[in-house]
Amino acid sequence: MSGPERVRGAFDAAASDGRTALIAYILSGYPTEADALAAAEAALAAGADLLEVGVPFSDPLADGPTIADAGRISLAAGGGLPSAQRLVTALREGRDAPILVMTYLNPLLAAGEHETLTSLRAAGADGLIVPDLPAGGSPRLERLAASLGLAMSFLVAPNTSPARIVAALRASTGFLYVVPLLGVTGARDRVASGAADLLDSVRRNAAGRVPVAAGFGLSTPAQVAALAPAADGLIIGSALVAAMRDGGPSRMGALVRSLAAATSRGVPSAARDMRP
Amino acid sequence: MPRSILDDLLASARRRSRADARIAPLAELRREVGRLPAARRFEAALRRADRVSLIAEAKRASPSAGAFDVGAGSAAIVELARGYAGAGITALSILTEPTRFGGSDDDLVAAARIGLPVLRKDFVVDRYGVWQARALGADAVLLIVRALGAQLLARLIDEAGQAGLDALVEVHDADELAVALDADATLIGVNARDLATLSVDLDASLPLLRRAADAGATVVAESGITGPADLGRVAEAGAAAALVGTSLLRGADPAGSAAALVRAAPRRAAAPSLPHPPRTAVKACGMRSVAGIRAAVAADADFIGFVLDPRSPRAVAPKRAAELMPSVRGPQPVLVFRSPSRKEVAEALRRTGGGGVQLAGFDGPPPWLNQIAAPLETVIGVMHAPISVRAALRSAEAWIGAGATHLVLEGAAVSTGGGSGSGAPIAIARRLGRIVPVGIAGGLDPANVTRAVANARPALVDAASGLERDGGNDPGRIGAFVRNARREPAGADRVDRHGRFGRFGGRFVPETLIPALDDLEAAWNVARRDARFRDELRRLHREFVGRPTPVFPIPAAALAARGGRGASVWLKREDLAHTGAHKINNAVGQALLAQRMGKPRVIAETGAGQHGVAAATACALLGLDCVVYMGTTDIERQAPNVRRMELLGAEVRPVAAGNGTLRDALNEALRDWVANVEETFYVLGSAAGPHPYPEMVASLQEVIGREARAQLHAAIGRVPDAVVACVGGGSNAIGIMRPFIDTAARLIGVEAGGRGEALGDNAASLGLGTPGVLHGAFTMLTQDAAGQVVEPHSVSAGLDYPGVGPQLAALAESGRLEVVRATDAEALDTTEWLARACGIIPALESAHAVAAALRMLPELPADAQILVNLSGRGDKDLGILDRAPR
Repeated sequence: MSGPERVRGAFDAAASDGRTALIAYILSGYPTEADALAAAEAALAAGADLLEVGVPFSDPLADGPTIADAGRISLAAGGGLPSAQRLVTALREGRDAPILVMTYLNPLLAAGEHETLTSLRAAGADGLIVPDLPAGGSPRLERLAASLGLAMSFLVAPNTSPARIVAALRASTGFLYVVPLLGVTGARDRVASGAADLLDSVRRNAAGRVPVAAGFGLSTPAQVAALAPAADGLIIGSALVAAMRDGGPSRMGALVRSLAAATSRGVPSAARDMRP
Repeated sequence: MPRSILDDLLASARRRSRADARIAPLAELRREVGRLPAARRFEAALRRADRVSLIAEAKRASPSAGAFDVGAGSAAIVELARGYAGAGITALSILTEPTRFGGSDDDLVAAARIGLPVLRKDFVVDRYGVWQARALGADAVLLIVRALGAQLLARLIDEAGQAGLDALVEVHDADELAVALDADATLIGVNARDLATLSVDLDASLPLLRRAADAGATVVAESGITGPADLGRVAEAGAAAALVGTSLLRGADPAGSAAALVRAAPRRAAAPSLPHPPRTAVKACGMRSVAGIRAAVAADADFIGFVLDPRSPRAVAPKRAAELMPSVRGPQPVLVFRSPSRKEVAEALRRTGGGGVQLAGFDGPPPWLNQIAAPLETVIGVMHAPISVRAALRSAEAWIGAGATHLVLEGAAVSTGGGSGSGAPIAIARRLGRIVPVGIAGGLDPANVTRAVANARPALVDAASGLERDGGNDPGRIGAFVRNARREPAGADRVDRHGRFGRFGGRFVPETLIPALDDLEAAWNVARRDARFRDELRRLHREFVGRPTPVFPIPAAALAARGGRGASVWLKREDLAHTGAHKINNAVGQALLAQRMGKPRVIAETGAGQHGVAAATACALLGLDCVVYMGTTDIERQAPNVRRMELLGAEVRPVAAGNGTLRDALNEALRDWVANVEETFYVLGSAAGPHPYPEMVASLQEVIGREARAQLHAAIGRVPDAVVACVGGGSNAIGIMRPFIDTAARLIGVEAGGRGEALGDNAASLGLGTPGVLHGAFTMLTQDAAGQVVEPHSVSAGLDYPGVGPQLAALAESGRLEVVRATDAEALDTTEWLARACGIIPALESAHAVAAALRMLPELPADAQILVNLSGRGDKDLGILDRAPR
């Protein structure tokens, strides 16, 4: 099964369950390889529908202090793309949940894009999220990913122009990653006002062609419940990394459980699936 | 191999091309290749060697030998190849055929990074395979006659020429050799293995080797070389090189076996050669007026030609040439003849006092050439198209042997298109130029020379009729011709619409920053053409910054004490600009743009603090809020600058993350911008970052180079021989160098050599780094093999950046920019030296550039003129000077 198919399948399954999909971000190698694996397994067991495996980078300019600090710890302990790949391999065994690798562009290029993408796919990754690669920024990489069955998910923000949203939609074969506020990763107390409106408008644009998921700043069940009707999926990042920091895989798993419980939309999915 | 195996391999190769083309279409590959610098010289290396060369092959299996003990993954191939490299081989052969040889394209990409010339060994059957070879990093590609047939072979040899690759044409028997020679192959591989039966017969191949060598080809013996004795036999038969694979890989120690063969390699007669110049030289020919000569001198042409052939419409008599000679100050004067007698040439040289000759109309060097060549600076031998590449090679080597210093291929109506066959002079020049440096002439003019240079990458371009108007020299056309000839083929001298310089640059940032960058680019494009904006900027330069800054020559006595033999070193005094460094030029320009765009808030990053001070200064002047991000490590080592920023009304925000240095400050500034993008203008301090910053910063700093070029012209009447600047992010370097790119001046960038060459001990991203993406741009970085950026080191905070501006990366890759290093110790010593030598305390950053200039002194001739950018003053560094261990 190709990455895009697997990703689509996970969103569809959540939708027919009457839920928004829950996407859990696990920073690979944090604080150690073993802990990260335990965290990922805990997140899946606690109800995450998709996993994002984060790759630490020396210069994470799209990340706030929580993930940036954790990234430094992971790097110091030997983390990086090879370690993330090992995590993917370990998780893939006998599991259906889509596993997406989230990395900055430079580590992908270091060993050559062809070699890197091929080995990530061989390890079992279903897709890539590259926050510093705008849609259309590397047609070669997009085509390479497509030929290997790796789903690409591009980001849009509140200030993204309609033309760029269309570009991101066209190029995204996994899901469209909506960042509903201007800023870097980091848990916020309140969801940015206008987030639901932005999501609605993007989803209308998407017209079912590709699922739309929102992330950056979500940390509580209340926030998840508030956005669940407006998004096909919700991404939890910094909050999970903070939970790992404060209480290890068990604390993180508990948080996932409480968030997963809040993903219900209260309405069965059939009416929402607008796929042609 | 049995017919069917070869058929299988060819069918598989066709399938691979089709599948690969879906991911990377041919047009995209060609564009990519166009952005690459010239490939390494494969054939030339074999031809010029004075011993038989060894080409060592890396593969995982072969149909005849089965599997070898080489692991999966290109790391295994790289390890094998490095072993070969250590053994002293000349070139590598890398299999990319996956079905029977266990090869992969990734192996080629990885092996190409080692630095040796690399052959793509595969069953290439189409144009795609040829261009892909180049795009993957190969310098030569294998074309098998048996697989291609005469027509396709000729087409692919031409494609290889267009792609800038050498073609190794493989033959097995006399018929195939005839086909190869007919197709004008110059590099021929004689395979002792019969592809139908897989059997090897070295003896049978020897006569074929001899025949190919006698025909003038560079010959490679393939297969069947199992030891030194075999090597001796193929050498005796005329082989210049041996390609060895299986016999190395069968043994337990391939590198060791390779070393044994290298040690046993017999001597051979090296072909005469000339060094390939780093840049295309420009000759303005047919000069016959003072105005024309002045134009050529002002444009910094390399050569000026006086046509003494009486049959030419542009002929001048020796007497007239003698009268014009004194106006030729800078370019080399060349007397141009067509089929002259020795007496004619000698007489003309005597009467005019000229030091160079050009000889056309001969079929090879005239017998008397080596009797007159010795005292001459320049001897240009002209070959005439149409001519086969092999014949031209023979002729070229004969000219060189007889004393020629330059070669030119002259053809009527030089075609600038792709070339439909080997008849087009441009195609011949292109292929020939891979082996010996050769210039082109015939039909060149200001309009077509840029394309011709990009196409043929010639050593020299020569025009005469193209520089005329109304029957006389046209100064305008002459100037345009010289400038257009020097436009960088890889686009390193100007940004394209994708924000790239060559293959570097671009815009790799989170989507949230795209709207801001689009707005910035649009606003900048309008502002820089707006006369009011330019006038206001000029006024601020004059009244606020204190421009123009002077150029000042270091006292001759001081230079003599450092081994100088009379060369002059001019310092461009950016230390005298307001705030004490060149940073102000950029800060004032960007702040003015911020004001124009209505952004109330400005943020900046800073390393040494100079840019932070400049930004705070400009914001105070223009009434903008200013926040400066500075790493805690830098705050500690540059305290006076922090105080200055605060006094100027800026808020300094310490950044403790990471190492607390410039890159961490840059990361934090970018994060701030992501979060506050609507009301914030980011004043980026160097020529790095996402498009449009590198282009904008270079434009704002160019005032340095423009002033210096005019000032030196007034002082010495010409362009300097070299422009030297320190390179951190690159803004002062690109600022002083950009106005000189289209001249003959050498451009020398001096990076921080820190305390050594190990990763993390220096900040030499150009000299020691590798390509990658940082802070929005594809550029050269100090990083580890996993793509994690490594903290650089330099005693000077301003050079302590792990990346470099993408335009400098492109200029370095194209060879236009020479890259050297100065160590911490050299910079510290030079700071003290300059202070005592002429009362100027340079910033530690600038001291790197001065140090490199001083190192050049003993080699420079007495009339050399060197321009050094003194990018800042050193008051801020007194604490470091005191504390530094020496």
